[in-house]
Amino acid sequence: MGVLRVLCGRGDVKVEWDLEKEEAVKEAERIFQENAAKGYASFRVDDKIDSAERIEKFDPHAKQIIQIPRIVGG
Amino acid sequence: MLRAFLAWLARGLGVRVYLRPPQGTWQLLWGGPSEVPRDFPDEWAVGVRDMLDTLADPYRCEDEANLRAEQLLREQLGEDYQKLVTQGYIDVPSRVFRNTFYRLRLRRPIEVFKNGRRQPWRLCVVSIERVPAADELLMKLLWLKTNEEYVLATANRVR
Repeated sequence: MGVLRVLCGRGDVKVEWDLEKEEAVKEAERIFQENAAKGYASFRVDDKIDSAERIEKFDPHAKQIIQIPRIVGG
Repeated sequence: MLRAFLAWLARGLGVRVYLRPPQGTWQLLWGGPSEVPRDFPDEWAVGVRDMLDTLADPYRCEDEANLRAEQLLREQLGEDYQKLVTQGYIDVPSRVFRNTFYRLRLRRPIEVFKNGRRQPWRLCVVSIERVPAADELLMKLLWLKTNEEYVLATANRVR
């Protein structure tokens, strides 16, 4: 069971998938790619935030993926 | 040695020498504690949302969004969440520079400490989308943990 959390103005939007359900995985991947195309950065955070790693491709085996909007100099 | 010499000199001159300034001297010179309200949260804030009330955050998101963002931050930070609430900040050690850490506060630029001293500039990065304050902090944290150089290259240095 994996979860994709997309940070946006509404807090975070959760998308969960089960590896056994192909459709759910595909849908999560579609959302991941849609956000990636918008410039969202993706991080695989399996346990603690210290173990976070930047990813470019959707990994269905990830326990948790966090996608965040692009950052700019303020 | 110096103390004995000064005591001898003072006795000879018949004056009183203060090795330490009398109590209240510094207060007399520099004034007492400021009564001007500060625009950042203090230690008595009880949660991230209470801290936001103190900040009068101009980019406030809906309460439900803030609630979810706070929940996510709490899950990700673990024990550090309590530190954030009680101290008002969390420190992230640099992976690139020695004796350097970054101090993250809600809705504030990133403070940089080198050898224990705060640098006169801060790193300002913002999300291109409006996100709750807790999410913004999490974003900075994720970037600092995974690609510190990117933050350094992207951020504007502000005073």
